[in-house]
Parts: sequence; structure tokens; C-alpha cells
Amino acid sequence: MSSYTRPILRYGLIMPAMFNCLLLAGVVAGASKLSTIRAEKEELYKEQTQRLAAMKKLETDLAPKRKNFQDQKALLKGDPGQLFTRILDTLLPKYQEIELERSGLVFPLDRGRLGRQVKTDAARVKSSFQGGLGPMQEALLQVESLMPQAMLEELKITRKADLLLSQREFLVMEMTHTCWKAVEEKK
Amino acid sequence: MLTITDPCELKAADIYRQARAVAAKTSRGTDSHWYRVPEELPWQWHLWFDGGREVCSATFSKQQQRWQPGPTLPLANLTTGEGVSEILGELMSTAHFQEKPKALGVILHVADEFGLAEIAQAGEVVGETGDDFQILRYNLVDDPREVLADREVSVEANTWRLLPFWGAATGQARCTAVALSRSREAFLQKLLACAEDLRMPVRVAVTSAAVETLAALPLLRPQLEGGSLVAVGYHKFTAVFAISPSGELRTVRSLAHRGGSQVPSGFGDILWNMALGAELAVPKVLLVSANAQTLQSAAQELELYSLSRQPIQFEPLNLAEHSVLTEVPGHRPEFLIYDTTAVEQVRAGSTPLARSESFRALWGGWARQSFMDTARLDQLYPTQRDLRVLRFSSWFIYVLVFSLIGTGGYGTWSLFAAMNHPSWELTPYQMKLTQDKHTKLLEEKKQIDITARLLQPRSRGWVTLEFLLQLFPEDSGVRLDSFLYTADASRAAVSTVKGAKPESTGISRTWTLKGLVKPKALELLSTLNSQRGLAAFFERVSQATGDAAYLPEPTRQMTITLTQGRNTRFSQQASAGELARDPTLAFPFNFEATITQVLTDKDPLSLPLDKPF
Repeated sequence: MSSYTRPILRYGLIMPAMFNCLLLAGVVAGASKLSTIRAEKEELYKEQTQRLAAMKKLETDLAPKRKNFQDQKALLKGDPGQLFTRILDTLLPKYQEIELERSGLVFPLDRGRLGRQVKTDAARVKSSFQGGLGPMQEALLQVESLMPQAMLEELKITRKADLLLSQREFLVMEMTHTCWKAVEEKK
Repeated sequence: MLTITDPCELKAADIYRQARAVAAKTSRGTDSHWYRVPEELPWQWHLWFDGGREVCSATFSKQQQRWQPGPTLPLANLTTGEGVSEILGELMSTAHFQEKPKALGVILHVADEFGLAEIAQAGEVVGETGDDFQILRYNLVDDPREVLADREVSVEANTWRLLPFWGAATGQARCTAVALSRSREAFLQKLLACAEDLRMPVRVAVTSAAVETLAALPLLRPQLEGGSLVAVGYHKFTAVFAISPSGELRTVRSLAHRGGSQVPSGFGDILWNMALGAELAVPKVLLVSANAQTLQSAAQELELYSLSRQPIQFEPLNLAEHSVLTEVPGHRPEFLIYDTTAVEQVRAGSTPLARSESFRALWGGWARQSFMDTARLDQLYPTQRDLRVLRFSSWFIYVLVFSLIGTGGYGTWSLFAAMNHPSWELTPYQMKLTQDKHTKLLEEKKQIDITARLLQPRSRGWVTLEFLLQLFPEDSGVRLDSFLYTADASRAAVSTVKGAKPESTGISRTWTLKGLVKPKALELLSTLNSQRGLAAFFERVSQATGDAAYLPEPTRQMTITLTQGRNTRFSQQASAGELARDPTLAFPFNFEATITQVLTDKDPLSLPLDKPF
């Protein structure tokens, strides 16, 4: 080994190799980091793209429903007791007493058979009528058409005759409606 | 011009720079001639001088094995070194070689001196093997004062090389050191410097002419047997070699010529004593010289000695008239051993001297030992291996740089590609905005879905009354006493999937009917009292009202319980008046029916558990 061998090996091979290895390691580390960042960004971009597509589809799906939903919201926000009473008040004068007569209207406070299992607020309306089935069905059709939030919880029909007044038998119809209501929570 | 500094005086980085400069500015990295000994080079220039007026100059083309007279070199120039570049230029032309030389081996055969010095451990350390001589040889080159008996010698002025006595008798010196002055090295140094400038590989050597002549003896006299003295006469001295009967070198003496004489004084006595010391039975002397006068003087001296003192047999060998040396310029036998073909021919033949170890060793390199320590000069330069490594390192660096550029380029391209991708512009804020919007939309969808489901018609009064009318039409023969309809929300089912919340709950609806019935209506009731009949009836109600809640579905279960009995009040003989007062008298049977419909939580009309908003 001559005096030149070690310096040549050191400066000609080892140091360039080390320097290159350092630079390469730096470049590789940088490229790796860049690759990771790029992969993360592309993953986020993919997620964003998919989300935008999903939103577009969702928007397409929801847009035609919004108007109806607003009406439904308005319906659910209203006081069902008042509405029920108002409809009956408008409706019943059309019938003679023998055809259909309201004999009672109360608003029970408990949640009833339907409301107790769900979280949605509900108001119950218990109404009693005397008369025939036909007028009753007609009246109910009108009430329930105007109040889709009303759900029949109970209907009881019995025959009754006032023997003292020598009246003919008539039907007593007692029904309870559960009316869903909802108030938008303030966030 | 390249200035070379001893690498021992430089730092590592400077050594590396110097190596690169040597590789760049000289042909050492590509021309292997720089690293060969002169006698190996195909083009050789031999200079011989004996202290006389002329210098013998010869060129030798090894490939053609042809000797030619070399360029004339005045003796003064050999001392001053003048005109070196012109001579080198002449040598590098085709004037002396058939083709233009690519390198030159310069060998200076010194015949004007032949000093002998005693080795300190000559009789002690040196053993029998050739390796011992080699060790001593290198020690003598590296540190002469440690090896020579005289430690006061000047290493600046002289140089020594070992000459082993392969045939030395026990108790006698086994080797000696041949000494030459270094006065001629200046010329060779100038020659080397000039060659360096011309980027021409020139290798030099200084040899002892006397030792070379001894080595050439088997070529001059192939049939010469051992047991004799060989006296080689030069202008200033006579070298006497004692050859043992087996052909081995036993000893040597250098006899200076004094007072302008061609023969050393006391020549006969010296030869007689040497013959005795060499244990030669009959003193036989071979007188060798290129000068006829010298041979004649020596012969006269020995004839006179034989007559007056002791008988000595002698034989003159006139080199000028020798046939082997006819084509050798100056008839110099020293040049012969550089013709390897000639040496190999003699070695292959079985002449007495050629078989001896001494002459084989002399031809093997001992006779051609250079007295100029060119190894020290060579150490100033990188070795051939160093330059190969340096060249490799250059390629290595190119490859590294290329790989670095490649990797850097790839990195830049990757960055460019990444930055041009739309994802690069996407910010977390944008992501959050979109996510918020999406969440809002999902929330809205949930609200819409729950609201829509909540408001689905699943239990309506007018449909329940229609149910009654469809069940017992007018004049069906049924008198209904009481009717009860109830709708109950089922208890929310416990989800089988851990963490999943149930979204809806089922509904259970019950119709309870009590009344009286005439025989004609019994068939109606019995039709109802089966799954098929019940399903058909529910489907009919659904079609009549458009209420999907009555449609039979796999998610819905229907059951009926029917009890029939006799009406105790029935009177077959009742008059019209009695029937008008009490219609129950006309009905022979009574009944009680309970119909149940259960909508499971999987049913589309099941009740959502969550609030719509």
C-alpha cells in the first residue's frame, strides 16, 4: 500500500460514496415524504370528490322533497289540539244532530299507547260522537286528510238507547288520536 | 508543469489532489511502461563508460533483438546533463529503432569504478537460503549503514548493492557489497525530468559493468568449466572473480590500476593468493578485456610471474575479436545479459557454468541490480494500482453524480406532478366546509325521511270504519253490539348488532268485535276465520281505501280469534212489534271476534323512534 492508497480510497471512493449516500438518503427521504403527502392529499381529494358526488346525488334526491318537507314541518309545528277543534268546528255544523253530534273533546296529557315508545313529541285528542257510521266516516276522512300527523290510537263504538226518552238506538263513538308534533331545536 | 511533492510531506487531501494531477497530466494512469523496470521495456538505451574519453552508446530493440549504435553522448554531457532533451528527442524518433518508441529503458553500465565493501554480518546472519540474501539485499538498499561493516560511509555520495558468494567456503565471507558513486545520477535525473515533461515513460537503471561481465561469461565461453579465476580488465581497474570447480562464485576482488598501468601492481601475487584462498588446485586465469594491449600487458606480467615465482595458467579473451559480440556496439559483454533470448539459450543448454546456482541467480536479477534507487523516486508517484483505483473512483463519482441527478430529477418530477394534481390545492378548510355541507345534507335527509315516515298513514279512523262496513255490509245478517280498535306501539327491539341503535318500532293493531248474527252470516264469519280469508279481506279493505297498512306483507302478521254461541234471547215466535222493540230477538247466534295485525320494526310503516328534527 503506497502513500497514495489511503487518500485515494478516502477521497476518491469513501467520501463521495458517503456524501452521495447522504444526499441520496435525503432525496429518498424527501421523495418518500412527498410520496406520503401526495398519497394523503390524493386520498383526501378522492374522499372530497366522492363526498361531492354523494352530495350532488343527495341534493338531487332532496331538492324535490324540500317543499313538501317545509309544509310537513309547518304542520308538525302547529298545535294539533287547536287544529283538530277548528276542523271539527267547521265540519260538524253541516250535520244534523241525529246524523253526527260531538259529545266530548278532551286532550289527555299522557303519551298514550303510541307515543310512549317514541321520542317524537305528541299531543293526544280524545273525542266522542253520537250518530251514524257514515257521517262519522266522512268527518274523520276530512279531519285525517287535513291532519296527516293524526294517528288513530283507539276507536270504541257502542250502541246506546235512551229508553226514557223512547229514542231509537244510536251509536256512541269514542276515539283517541295521537297527533305528532315537532319543534325545531335551536342549535 | 507538474510539480511533485513527497507525499510524506503532504496532508491526505493534498495527496489526493496530487494523485489526480498525476493522473490528469501524465500518462501513468494509462501506460503501464511507467511501472516496469528498464530491462523489461521493448526499447532500451545502454550507456557504458569506463572513465576513458568515450561513452559507449547502444540501443536495443527487444522485440527484434537487434543492437544498434546509440546517439553519441560526450563524456562531459554525462556529467553535466547538457543536451539531454535533444538526445531524448533523437531516441524517440525512428533513427535508432524500427518503430517510434513508446517508452525507453535507460541503463547506465558503470565501468569506471568497482568498489567492494565488507558486510557486517556476512559470516553470521546470512544463512544458506536465497531468502536470507534477499532480506540482506533490501536492508542494504534501505539502510546501508546498518548492513555495512564500515558505518561511517556517505550514503549521499555512494550506493551499494549486495553480491552473494554462492560458492563461498565455510568460514569465508558469504557476500560482499559492490559500491558505486552516485555522481552519474544527475544525468539520469535530468533525463527523467525531461521525459516527464514529454509524458514519455522513461525508466532508468545504473548497473555495475564488472558484475554484468561475470554474468555474461557463459555466453562468451559456453564450455568454460569452474575452478578458475576470471580477471576482467577495465580502464581503471581489474575485477577478479574466483569461480569454484562447481562453477559457483566464491569470492571477488577489485584491483585498481595505478600510475597509468593497464595491469594492477602485484597482479601475479594477488591471483596466486586468490587461487589459494579459493582452494583451486591449479591456478587458472581467464583474462578478459576488449583492449588487446591490456591483455598483452597482463599476459606478460603473468608469464614473468610464472617464470620467477609460481606457475599460473592463463588464457586471454579478447572481446573485440569475439564472434558473439560482433553485432554488439563497442563489443561490450555487459549488454549481452539484456538479450533474454540469448540468455535463455545458454540457460537451456547444459554448459558447466549455466548449471551453477551462481549464474542462474545472476541472470535472475542479481547481475542487473540497479544502483540507482528509483524505488524512492517511484514512491513520489501513485502506483499503477492507485491510479486504477483513482480511475475507478472517477467513474464511480460519475455514476454517483448520475444517480444523484437521476434521483433528483425523479424527485423534482414527482414534486411537479404532485403540485399539478388538483389534490395539491385542496385545503383542510375546503374539506371542512364540504364535510359540514355534507353533514347538513345528511341531517336534512334524515329529517325528511323521519318526517315522511312519521306522517305515513298507518292508522286512520275513516279506514277503520270502512273496515267495519266492508266486514259487515248492510243486510249481512249481523248486529254489532260493540267495536274496539286499538293501535299500540311495540317495545323497541334490542339490536343484535353491538352499538347499533334501532331506528323504528313495530305497531300492533287490534280489532275487537262483539255482536249477534243470523245463520246466513255464519258463512261470512267462518270465511274470515282463516289466514287466507283474513288476508283476502285485508287486501280488499286496502284496495277499497288505498291504505297500504292493510296490505298483507311478509313483515306483517295477522291472527283472528272467533267465538260463536247461541243467543239466549233469540225467539223464533217473536212478533214484528216485539222485534221492533228488541231487535236482538231475531238473531239466533252471538259472536266475538278479535283480529290482530302486527307490523314488525322492519315494516315500511313501522314507527320511527327518533324525533324528525
